[in-house]
Amino acid sequence: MAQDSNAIWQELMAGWQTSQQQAAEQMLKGFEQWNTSIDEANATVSNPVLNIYKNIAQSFLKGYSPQMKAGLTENWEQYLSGMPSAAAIAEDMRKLIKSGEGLFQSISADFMSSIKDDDANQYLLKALLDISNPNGWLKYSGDNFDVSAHKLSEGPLFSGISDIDNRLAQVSDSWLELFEESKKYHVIVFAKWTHAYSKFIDELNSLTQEKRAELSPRNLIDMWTTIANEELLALHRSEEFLTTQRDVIRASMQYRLHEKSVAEVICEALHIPTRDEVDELHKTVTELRRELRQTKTIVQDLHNTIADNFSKRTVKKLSSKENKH
Amino acid sequence: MSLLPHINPYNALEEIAKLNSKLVEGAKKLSSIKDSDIHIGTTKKDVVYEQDKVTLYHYNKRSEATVTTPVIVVYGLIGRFTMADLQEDRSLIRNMLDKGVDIYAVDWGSPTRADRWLKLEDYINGYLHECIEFVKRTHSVDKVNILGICEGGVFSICYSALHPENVNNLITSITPVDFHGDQRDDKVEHGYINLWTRNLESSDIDLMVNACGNMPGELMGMVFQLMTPLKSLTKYNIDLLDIACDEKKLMNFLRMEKWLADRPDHPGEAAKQWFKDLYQDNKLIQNTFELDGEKVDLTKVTAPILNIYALNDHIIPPECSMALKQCVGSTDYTDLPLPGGHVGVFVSGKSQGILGKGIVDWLIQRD
Repeated sequence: MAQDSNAIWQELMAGWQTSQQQAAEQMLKGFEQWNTSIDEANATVSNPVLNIYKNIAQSFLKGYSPQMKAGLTENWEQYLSGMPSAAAIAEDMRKLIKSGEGLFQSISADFMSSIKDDDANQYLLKALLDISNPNGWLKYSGDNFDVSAHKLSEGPLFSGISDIDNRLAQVSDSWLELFEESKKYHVIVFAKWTHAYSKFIDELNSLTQEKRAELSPRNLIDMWTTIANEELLALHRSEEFLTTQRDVIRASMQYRLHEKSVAEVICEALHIPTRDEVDELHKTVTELRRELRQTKTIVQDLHNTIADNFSKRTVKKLSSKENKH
Repeated sequence: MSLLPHINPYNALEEIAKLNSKLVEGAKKLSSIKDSDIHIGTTKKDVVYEQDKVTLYHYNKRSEATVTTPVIVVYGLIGRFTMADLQEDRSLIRNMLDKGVDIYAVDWGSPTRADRWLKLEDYINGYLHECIEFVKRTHSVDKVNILGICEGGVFSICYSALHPENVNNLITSITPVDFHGDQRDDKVEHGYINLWTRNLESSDIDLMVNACGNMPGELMGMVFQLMTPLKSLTKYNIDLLDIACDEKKLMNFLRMEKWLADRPDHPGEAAKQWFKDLYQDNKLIQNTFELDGEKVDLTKVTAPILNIYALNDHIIPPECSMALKQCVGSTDYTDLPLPGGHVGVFVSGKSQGILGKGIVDWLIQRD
């Protein structure tokens, strides 16, 4: 006998709650690890940006974890209210990057304040901020395929499908994994950005007063870009960067596959062909086209052979006739 | 304390005055240019053959023939063939037409998810073979000349090994043959794709194709940006500002941008072969690469070869291309190393006089 819709819904929510509890545990663990890795990174390079990260991690652990832990044992509603939404995390990241920008903005503004304030000045300041913005360094992580990360991690979209909760849990897990890997990537890139920034300051400080007096806004930009280019080239070829970026790409692709898995359930429920079914269809068409091409080639070769033989026979006949005459 | 307390106000004001006039003039020019004003690949041509998404173009003649055997230009699946005809005064196609060469070009089109199952054999033994057969029939010739560019150069080499009876002369340009040759190149900015791909597991390539269907053009674009990281940060502010007042330079810049922006997805199964068999396992130079179950034996490439490579090619390091000489069966082999980078060989002002002439002179001697 079929379950009534209320029972299906209750079952679905129970599964969803379990998956979210697991996700919460992982997230807490991730933040704890993140905190530790920042301490380790700061042990070798003093990085103000990493400290901002650390502050976020600590506030998260202090602020959110009691609610999350409560949710794990008591009621899931309370727990869910403690979960940071994708939007909240994005806001944290925005603040973080803004703080990173602030480091460079302070010296740029300091420099720019010593010259006339007009449109050109503002343009240069903006250009300088654009090319020194640590956010610009972060765009190569390969995680930009997860455009719809939050849309499926915020809850079940519909009920009545037996394994949807498991699939959604996998989406949540893989999204957290992607989030975790992205953080590792950010830590490495920010460490290098800080290194470049230190080199830039050292180079400025090493200039004589006369040389400094000769500096133009453009010189300052060129000085930064030269240093940043060297640092970025070295960073992108480092084992650490390549490994981390690879892990982000893996996590991003896994997330995409899990997302597809949920989408397939939705398609099936709504009588829409799934991605896999369409792919299978395309595969069949490609194979048929391949066979058709090969068959056409065989037919053409046969045609050429026959035409060639016919032509040879005709020449032979004609030449034998001529010989008789 | 201010970091820069002793700015010379006269120098600063002078620079700012110059910058202000650049900004005004540049903004005026940029605001008056629309995308429809940026034209690339404009040399006149006709569609003469089509199959699926593949189109074969025949360029209109511009002068008396000096080479009787037609040339088929074969570009790769990463980027577009229009690089060889970017603009009127920077066009290999136009230069060769002006010197009396009859030219065809294969356009692979824009692969979609529906094309994810296409393999390299579909492109090489299928589409390319049929284009070549079409040209042979049209011109009543037994063989054609092939000019392969980048990945298209690899297609051309494979085709020449598997169908040597159809190839009169083979010209390869900026073409990788030894995909691990970058390890012999000591320039830090060279060979990032090789390094990046080797750092991935074979299963990572499968994962990307399974997740995306094809190898997304955006992903390849990201890897290209990683090769010249600062360039992408300065391109649209500092670099653009430098050229914004010069209409000719600005239009050159915008045409190149238009070409770069048109980055098709690489069909999935073909991408697996390209990255796993070639970039990771380096099978081409080892004669272990297979198409349709047949080994691509480079010693079977017997047509005369002109191998063009760029000495400062950061995408295909020269060492990767130069390796061709040692592994082919051709006794008539010529290297043509050119100054410049991967794209610069085709589009820089300096190379315009050298590249087209070098190819045509070489062809005339072997026609």
